[in-house]
Amino acid sequence: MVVKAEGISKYFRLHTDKSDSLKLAFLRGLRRSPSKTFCALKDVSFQVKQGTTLGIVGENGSGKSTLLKILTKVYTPTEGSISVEGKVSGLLELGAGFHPELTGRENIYLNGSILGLKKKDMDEIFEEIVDFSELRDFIDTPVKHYSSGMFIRLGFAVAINVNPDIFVIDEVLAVGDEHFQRKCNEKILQFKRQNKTIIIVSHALEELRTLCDEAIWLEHGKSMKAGAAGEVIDAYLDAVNVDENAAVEERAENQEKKFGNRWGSYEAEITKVEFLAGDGNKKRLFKNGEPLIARIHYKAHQKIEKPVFGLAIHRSDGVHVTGPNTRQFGLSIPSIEGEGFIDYRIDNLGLLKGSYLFSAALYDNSCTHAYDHQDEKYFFEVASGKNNETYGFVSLNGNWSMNDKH
Amino acid sequence: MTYLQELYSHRELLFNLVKRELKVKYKRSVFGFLWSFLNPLILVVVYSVAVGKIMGMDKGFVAGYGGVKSFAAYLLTGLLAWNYFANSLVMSVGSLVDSGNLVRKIYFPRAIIPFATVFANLVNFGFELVVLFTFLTVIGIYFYIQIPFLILVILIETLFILGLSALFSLANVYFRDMKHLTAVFILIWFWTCPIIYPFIRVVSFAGSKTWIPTVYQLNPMASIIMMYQKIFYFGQAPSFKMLGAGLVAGIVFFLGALAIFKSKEENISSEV
Repeated sequence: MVVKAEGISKYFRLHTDKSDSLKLAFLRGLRRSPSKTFCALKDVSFQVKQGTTLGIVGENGSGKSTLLKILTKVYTPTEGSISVEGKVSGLLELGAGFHPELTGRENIYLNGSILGLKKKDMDEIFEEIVDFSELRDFIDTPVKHYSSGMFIRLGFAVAINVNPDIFVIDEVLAVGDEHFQRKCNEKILQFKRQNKTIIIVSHALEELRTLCDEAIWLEHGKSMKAGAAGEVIDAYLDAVNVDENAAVEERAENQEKKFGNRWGSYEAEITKVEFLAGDGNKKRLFKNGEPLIARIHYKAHQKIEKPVFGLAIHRSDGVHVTGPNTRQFGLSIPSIEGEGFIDYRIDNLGLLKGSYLFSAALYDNSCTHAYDHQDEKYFFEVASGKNNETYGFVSLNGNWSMNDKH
Repeated sequence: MTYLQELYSHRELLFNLVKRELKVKYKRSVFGFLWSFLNPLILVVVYSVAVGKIMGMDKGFVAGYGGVKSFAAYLLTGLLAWNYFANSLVMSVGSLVDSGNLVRKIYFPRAIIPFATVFANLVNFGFELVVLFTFLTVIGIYFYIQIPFLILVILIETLFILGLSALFSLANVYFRDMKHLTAVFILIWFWTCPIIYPFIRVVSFAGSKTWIPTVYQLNPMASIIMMYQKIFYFGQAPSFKMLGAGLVAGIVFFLGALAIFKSKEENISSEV
């Protein structure tokens, strides 16, 4: 075990004022300030074996960064104990201690010694760092003349080349341009091949799934689940979706109150639209590939002959996705009277991740007279599910095949 | 591993931070390191005129080595030793808070930060001493044989400053007023040391109340400055009693301050 954490908790003192000053202390009569404490981590235990890649997932503010800072000894846990074998370093401290007046070269050496390297070691990796940063032409320029991208690149180049025993990464993978990012990912894979221990905090769950062996899911400082990366990430995603459903519900209500147009003669009205999952439960957040049922409730104040129900789905930016109606489908409804509903069922939702607006309409047989037309009144969201497609907004569920006989 | 050992294992970082501080200080200034030589010269001219001539301190001034009477030499000795102390403290008191960006991100023994400021000032003090050496040689004060004692006195002063810088910078993490308080503190402390007046004046002022000079010398900076003056102005070795007491007090104070610093160190990263 290279890392062994047992029941670690971390409390912070919350400052009610901007800063403590002696004046305030005197006013209080030199008593200790009545500060509140905030619990960032609560009773977290885990172990990391040599060569394991561990992912830490959780919402913002769940204690992920605090945990990393405890690993790197920046924070001492308030309770519990942690033992770490070997040198810990990584992508948390990009350009820490860089001084704007010093040149790139001077800063590389300074940064190296802050990370605990001797000058001799730095001499060995200096060329590597310069090559990696691609800043050879500017290496003797004070870093205050660097662009922010160059600054981060130099910090990154030092951090990634110091060759620690345990490499720690805090969601900074999205640094720099495409080309530079690829180099960084290569370096991480190289660490993995060298059987180094890696600990990553990230929100890119799918990347973590492929990169990590194990994962921990933190929520409000507590460890909710730890174990094989895939299982932990699935559990986390499920929980996120439950929360997300509630959030979508709330967003939908606001949306439906505020937006949309409605017109018609109202001899018959559309009273509401519900979105149902395959099991018949109401929901607003669907995953692509799942069934979706749109249930349109109506109330006919008088007998309506041969009505036509229609609907439309628009992407939130207004792109018209589809607009089926019962007449074109070939469903002929003799008449309606009183209350009832009609379902539009999609077995395999082809829409990709995004928010969608839903319109419902009730017309006469010629589709010229509107009894009730509710335009972009309703709202649902789609999250990515089994379908890994990311381009465009709809999947046509096509299949790829290759003729291997050529 | 004791804290001292941990500090020692990070000596390269300390060295680099000192280098950074010195480099940054003189980068892009026309005179660069020349300022280290110019500052004491300017100081001594201003003080000689203002305190010596206008206030008349130089009349009937005590004679130093070989009967040389030089108010300027006496003044420069005290001022340089004092400035090493005062600049170190004023510059280091805010150092932990100012390096918050570093402290919040990476672990290393935090005492390195105020210490780096002190050592940068020590290097500066070294340059200024070159000016003093030259000046004393020109006016005929011979002190070179006392250099081993000088090194001891510098060591005592440095231990004292290191201890204070650790305590002050730590206090400033919790009470940001410490920075302003230090400036006031230093201003007052200056007048309790025999820098622009000789110790003999204190003795004659006290008259028969002999406890006054004794208490006066309990002020560490007063004693330290008097040891410098003994070496540079009078060309004599400081008394072994003073050196011994200074060394013991310096080491005890330094280790005590370090122990206090160490006990509060783990809170620094979440408080700055």
